[in-house]
Formats: sequence, C-alpha cells, structure tokens
Amino acid sequence: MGTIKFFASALMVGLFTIAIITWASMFAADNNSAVSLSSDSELQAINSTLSSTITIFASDVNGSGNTFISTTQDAGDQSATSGGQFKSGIGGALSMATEAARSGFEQIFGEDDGFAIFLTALLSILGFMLFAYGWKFWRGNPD
Amino acid sequence: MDGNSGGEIQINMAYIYQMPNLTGGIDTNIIQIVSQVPSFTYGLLIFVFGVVFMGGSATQKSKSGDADMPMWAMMASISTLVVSVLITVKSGMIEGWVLGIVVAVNILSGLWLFFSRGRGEF
Repeated sequence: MGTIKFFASALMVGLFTIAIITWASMFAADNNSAVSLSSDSELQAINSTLSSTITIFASDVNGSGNTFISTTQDAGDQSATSGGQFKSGIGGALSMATEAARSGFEQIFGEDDGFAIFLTALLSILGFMLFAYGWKFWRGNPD
Repeated sequence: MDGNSGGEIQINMAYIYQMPNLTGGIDTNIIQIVSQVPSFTYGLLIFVFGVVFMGGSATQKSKSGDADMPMWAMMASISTLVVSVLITVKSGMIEGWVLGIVVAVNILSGLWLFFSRGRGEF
C-alpha cells in the first residue's frame, strides 16, 4: 500500500462512516421508526466531527489546488520551495480514520478502562509471538 | 397411531413460553416472540451476518481459489444493518444499543476493507 493509497483509504473510511450513520439516522426520521440511531449520542457526535473534518479537508484541498493555477510570480521573486500543495489534508484524513475506529471500538467494547486488561493481554501474546518468531528466524526452531 | 383400541392418545405438553397470537399479523407475532425469547433478535442478526460472510467467502474460494474476506465482511455487515433498520420501525424488536453495535461493526468492517486493498484496486 503506497502513501497515496493509504491516505485515500483513510479518507474512504471517514466517508463511509458518515454515510452509514447518516443513512441509518435518516431512515429512522423518514419512517418515524420507534428505535432511532439519532438517540445514540456517541455516534451522532462522531458523525458531526467527521463531517466538519471533511469540510475542512475539502476547503484545504481546493485552496491547495488553486495554487497550481492562480499563482503569479513577478520578476525577482523567490520560487516556491515548500511543496505545500501536497501536504494539505493529510492530518485530516488520518484523524478521520482513527476517530471512526475509536468510535467503533467504544460502541462494541464500551468506554470503561476495565477492558484495557484484555487488550493488554492480547498485545502481550502478540508480543510473545513476535519474539518467538524472531528467535526462530535467528536461532532456529524454539520448540 | 399408538395401537390403542380406544383411539389415539393425545399428549398435551406444557409450553415453556407463551405461544404468539397468530391472528395479529406477522409483525405482532415476531414482537411477541421477541418478548418471550429476547435472544431471537440477536440470533437473527448473527445468522444473517454468518450466512452472508461464510457463505459468500466459501463460494468465492471454491470458484476462484481465494476468498476476499474483508469484502464479504463488509457485505455481511451491510446486510445485517439493512435487516436491523427494517426492524426498528416497530418498537419491541430491537434496542438502540444493538443498532449502535451493528453500525460499529459496519465501521470496523469498512476499516478492514479499505485498508486491505492493494494498489490499483478498490
């Protein structure tokens, strides 16, 4: 996965999250459902956060894109050296993916820190497996 | 037939839950079933997810030799979400937190799908 593909994937995760939450909420509003996703404050908060992030992302990209065609340079000016056109929106795309993932995990596992013991145990097992594979690679089969 | 010369012997067993009223329509029946067996909704959603996820990936693997698991997880999640939002129309069939978890599974499936793609594919 290249860099462009990575950030495009992060952006797609954000867009998909907005689409799913908005669709489920609008379905309840259109059909006057008894159970509505609008009553889930956490998902609505993440939806508005992602919507504002994507709005900023769009304006940043538009502004950066305009610099390609609307920049003027007079005689004696220093040429642009920053390459800033290619840096806009990267933080926004990454924050969209991480916020969407955090919201999903909190919906399933809750916000209680007590669940962290499970993740600690899981990471410990993964760390041990990584060590065992490293040992196997360098010194042979650990069995 | 039980071989009794007097006719059939009918054994009436007590139900462990109250039977639904079949004259009230399908939606009323399902709501009554959920009220008696609360795990019915969860079982239905897990069944839908499992059928699409395992059936789709197994079929693709038998045909092409490889299964695109993230894509089938995404398909199964969306299928489950469609069933979930349909049964939110009437009260008593699904709780709000269950719908939230289904949406969260969709988000995580989307995360898995989009970050599993290689170059040139989406």
